[in-house]
Amino acid sequence: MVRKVGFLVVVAISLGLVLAACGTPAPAPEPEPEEEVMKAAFVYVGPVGDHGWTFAHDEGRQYLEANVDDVETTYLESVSDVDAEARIRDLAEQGYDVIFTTSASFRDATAAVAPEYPDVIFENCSGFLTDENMGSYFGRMYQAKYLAGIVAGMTTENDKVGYVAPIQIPEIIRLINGATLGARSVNPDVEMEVVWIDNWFDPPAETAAVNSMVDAGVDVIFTGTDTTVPVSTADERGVWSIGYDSCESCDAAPDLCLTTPCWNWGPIYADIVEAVRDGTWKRDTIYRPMSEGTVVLTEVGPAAAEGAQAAVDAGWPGDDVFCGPIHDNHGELRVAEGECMTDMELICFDWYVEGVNSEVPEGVGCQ
Amino acid sequence: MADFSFLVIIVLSAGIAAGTPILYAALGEIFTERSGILNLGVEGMMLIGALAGIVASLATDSVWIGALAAMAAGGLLSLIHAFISITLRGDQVVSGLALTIFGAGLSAFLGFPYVNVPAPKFATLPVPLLERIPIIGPIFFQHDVTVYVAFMLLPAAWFWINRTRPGLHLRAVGENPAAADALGVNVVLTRYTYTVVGGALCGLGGAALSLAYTPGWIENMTTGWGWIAVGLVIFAAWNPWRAAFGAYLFGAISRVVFDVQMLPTAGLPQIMKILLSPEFLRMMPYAAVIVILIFASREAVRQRVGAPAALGQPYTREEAEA
Repeated sequence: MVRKVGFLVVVAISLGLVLAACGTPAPAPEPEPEEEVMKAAFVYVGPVGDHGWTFAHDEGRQYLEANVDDVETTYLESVSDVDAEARIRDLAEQGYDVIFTTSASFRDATAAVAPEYPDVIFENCSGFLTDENMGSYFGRMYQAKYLAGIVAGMTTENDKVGYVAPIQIPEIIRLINGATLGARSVNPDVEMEVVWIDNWFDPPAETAAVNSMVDAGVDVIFTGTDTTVPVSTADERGVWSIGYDSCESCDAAPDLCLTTPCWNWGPIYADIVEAVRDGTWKRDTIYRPMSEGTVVLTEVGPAAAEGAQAAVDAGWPGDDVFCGPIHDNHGELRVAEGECMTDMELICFDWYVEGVNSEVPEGVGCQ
Repeated sequence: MADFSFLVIIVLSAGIAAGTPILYAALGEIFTERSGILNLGVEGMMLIGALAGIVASLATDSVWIGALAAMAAGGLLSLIHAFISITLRGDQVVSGLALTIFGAGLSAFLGFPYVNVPAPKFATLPVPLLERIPIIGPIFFQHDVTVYVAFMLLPAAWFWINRTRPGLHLRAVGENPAAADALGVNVVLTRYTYTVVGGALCGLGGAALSLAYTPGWIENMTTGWGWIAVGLVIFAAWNPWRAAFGAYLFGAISRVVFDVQMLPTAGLPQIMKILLSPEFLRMMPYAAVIVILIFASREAVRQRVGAPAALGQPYTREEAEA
């Protein structure tokens, strides 16, 4: 066997030498014109089993595999911010055509690797930073939070709503504000309590945070974390809740969970991968409104106040949620009547709207 | 002022509820370490226990069977550590760390179908009469059964270790296995037994988390509580009572960080704002563990606080005779 292989190698090398000596190398075979397989990689910040943020992205990845032909995908889960740059570089090195990094905290790592691999397309979720071969994509979740706020505002009996807030960044300030504006649009007495767990994922802390707010009189819990723990804990304490991230969040407490603002990433992933294949991909900041389906509010559950679904269907007045007049929680007029906040202002949100019973932590914003 | 005392009672009560899973794990580790075996796999065993508790209670609709399954799963996992560190005389630190990584990975893999599934849980069961004692009642006697079992386990563990013959053998094996062996105590059997007992209690701690404290299974749901338990054992100087104090204190701190966020802090002086900030409070337990580890690593201190002298050292009879 070994001798046989050795023989073949000798023949191959001699052939090569002969061909090289002749100076007329055989023409390389033309690549087949058939469609090339696109390779897409996903870098996740949490475990796919969180049934929240990462779970929703992974559903998007599965949608991509099922709905776009000739696509191969892979993913890395629970990647830490420290590791992100090395993992992203590994994937680029392995020849993936598109690399999705699904956390704002991976923004700088993605931006650092992108210039090194100009033939690879990088897409970062929610970071709002682009480069020659790096795009950014996100959805206007604050719109769904506003609608969920309507449900909360109509349902609450104590006029006290609480928000389990994860990480201190403008995105979360924006979502808290959206929810508060929605709740107060139907019930001006609503006050929003905010507690930070300083983590996307910390089940025992999420439980303690919910208990703390319920003991303070809150009777509708919004969750902003990546798990369904706040929904389950609220159920146990006998108060209403609003899920987040995955559209199945309310399964954890079907009786008292009111509705869920959630993500549907599949179509964005399909569009981006198709664009890369067609050569039509361009550097862009994608920020899709609810009307384009990336952000969804699930059907309002039976525990909600009567008429909540109709109020949700009626939507927000005017063009968008953050259109004036809007006061901050110190009484100052921040957005004048007839004006709307720009995307840049939304991305850098560093003040709370009227009704939020808290102060924005120091250092949040864009400076 | 009525508001303040209400808050204190609520925080202490929540501290006991949150501290219970850690207390079980710490008690388990005290037993294991008293026999001279250091098992750093607490986090892994808690995770496996948390998952086993959910799976078994969903299958049988009984949280009690869930708790038993959690103990069996934790005990089974610790058997791996026992085999490596006692029979094979391997490095206990490496084996324990491997157990944590293995338990986290295995529970994430096997637990995937159970995420977000509403599971049965231990209901809150106020103790009749006792719950009506002012202050004491709301703090201690308005919890679920896992909390009360921990109350009963505490004196039992202390009595077993310090006042019984098997407890004496346990301590002897952890302090001086050669002497214990010479007196006819089966060192290998003792160490195996208490490693598995420790693992079972860690598993039960996991079940106290998934079946009582935080409802349902979620991958990696212990978020470092197993390591807090390991640190607590040293803080407690291998004493169950002090471990309980530490566990409940940690539980109370992990709750109060959220209550203070809803307090108005506008008029307070800057130093109070810092002391009451969630960042500062959240840091305290970890800072305390580091300080304790620094002190406990000094040999003189270790002897005075009563670290088992043979902790982490494999025992071989041949060496002892030579």
